[in-house]
Amino acid sequence: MKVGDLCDRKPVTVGASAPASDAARLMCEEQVGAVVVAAARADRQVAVGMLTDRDIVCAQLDRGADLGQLRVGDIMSGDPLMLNEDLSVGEAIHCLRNRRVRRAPVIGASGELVGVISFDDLLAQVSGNLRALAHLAEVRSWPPRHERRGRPRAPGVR
Amino acid sequence: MRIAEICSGPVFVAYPDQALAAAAREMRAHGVGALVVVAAGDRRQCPLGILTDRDIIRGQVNQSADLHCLAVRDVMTRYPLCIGADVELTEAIAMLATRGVRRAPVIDDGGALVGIVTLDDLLPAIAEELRELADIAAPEPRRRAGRAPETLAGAANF
Repeated sequence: MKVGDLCDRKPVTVGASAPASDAARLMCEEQVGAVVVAAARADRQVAVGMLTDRDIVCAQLDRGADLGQLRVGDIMSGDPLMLNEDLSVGEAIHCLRNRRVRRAPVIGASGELVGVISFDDLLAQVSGNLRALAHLAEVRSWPPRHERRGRPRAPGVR
Repeated sequence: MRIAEICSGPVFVAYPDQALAAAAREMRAHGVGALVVVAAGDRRQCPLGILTDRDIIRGQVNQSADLHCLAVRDVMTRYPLCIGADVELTEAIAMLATRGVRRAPVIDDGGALVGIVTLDDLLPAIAEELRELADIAAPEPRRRAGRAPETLAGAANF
């Protein structure tokens, strides 16, 4: 399983020149806490930053501004961690942990934005692996424990 | 494991009539993503609501009003899921999942606020259980060196 298979390939994006009110409205409509700030470069879309609901609130406090007065590019976290879509799940977890972030844009071979991956996606994947392991453990002890009681035993088997 | 052993403290509170900007400043000052809303003057601090960054953004968008013109009661999420301090880890996770929320105030038998539990607190508790399971499954040489055999009273002979 690669990051490219796991990520959300329709990330919610906003332009750096948009007002924060646009980003806030998008966050509400799409029910997300963060959006990718994207720009067009040589006919492809690239990620230039991340913007969270907290970034917006903090900027409002710092500048005493309402949402329409703030520009996304001025309040986003620039230089975001970007993960190549070919990375493994383990590598992605490692990268997010080292940068202490919960989400990152996912990029293709030529740096184009292909999606966004979050802590939630990775947790779901890891827990899915765990569920599969638990299932294996159950299979190994065939028949399943709940079917075992009262099962006739072959002669000589203790 | 009981929630009382897991939940993070101290818990920070806001009041319904408090200016939203003041509450947001509290959140930032304490580095938390949520405040529990309690009635001013309620010594037991029974939870009335919860306030997150997302509520602050959503409230501004829905009410077309600025952070600096709103009060906590205008945007808080009312009737929060509250979890008893004696509830077990597994049951708490099921309660959060059923309500589809990532955090809940923790209350004592009398309904008084004693903490807040979040997905971020529960994950390490699960990870710890998993690590101990892995320890059990590990071949002898890989088991952690220097660990004295532990016995639990009443479970020593098996």
